[in-house]
Amino acid sequence: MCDENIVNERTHLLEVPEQQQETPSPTTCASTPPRKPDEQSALNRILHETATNVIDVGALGPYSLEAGAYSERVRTYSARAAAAALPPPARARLLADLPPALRRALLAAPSLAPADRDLITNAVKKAASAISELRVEHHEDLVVAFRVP
Amino acid sequence: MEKIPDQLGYLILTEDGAVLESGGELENDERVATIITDLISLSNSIDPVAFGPEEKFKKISITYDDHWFVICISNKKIYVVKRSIQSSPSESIAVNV
Repeated sequence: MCDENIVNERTHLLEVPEQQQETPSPTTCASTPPRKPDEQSALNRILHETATNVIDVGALGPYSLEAGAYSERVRTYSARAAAAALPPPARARLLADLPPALRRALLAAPSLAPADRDLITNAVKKAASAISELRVEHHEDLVVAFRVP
Repeated sequence: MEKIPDQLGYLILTEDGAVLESGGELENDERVATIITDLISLSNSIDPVAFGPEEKFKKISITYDDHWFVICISNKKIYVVKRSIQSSPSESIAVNV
């Protein structure tokens, strides 16, 4: 049984006693003639494995942490949770928030130059028409015979 | 709000799109307020790979032939100004595709 010196977030909360669980008493099996010994031993094995792996909370009995151990674990868990918490992601905004001085100058600035406007309009028209001409050229079949004799 | 040259109307909205102030052609214009707010929400959900890590834009402008809108955010409020364009016959080359 390993010695746990450090109490961290991975410390088991419930100490599972490493006791031998009672398998079904062999007396009942002894009375019946062993017709299928393999099946019976397999069933016993499954039962034994389940019994050892299942943590029977009800059968553990009264269990409590010492006050000091409890508060220390609370502290450890809170520290780990706080470290793992991510800051809320900033909302994506394309427009920057401008100071009032910049706003006044910006709103009063002259409009888009006609040459620039035509450049943008023509470029977008060409791009739109190019995108509309995207085609799929069919060369091979999509569905092929596979391992068909 | 301060007077902007060529101003036809203006709106000042909260970040959620509620109208705080309005004037001129945009007076009490909840419809435009909703459209602008939706536009800003749409711009916020553009794929960030398109831009640099901390790249922010200062304004959005919607330009028509005879007028245009300038939109910016300041002190958590949305400012919208509708301004007129003194259109001179432009020698622009329009590409028809």
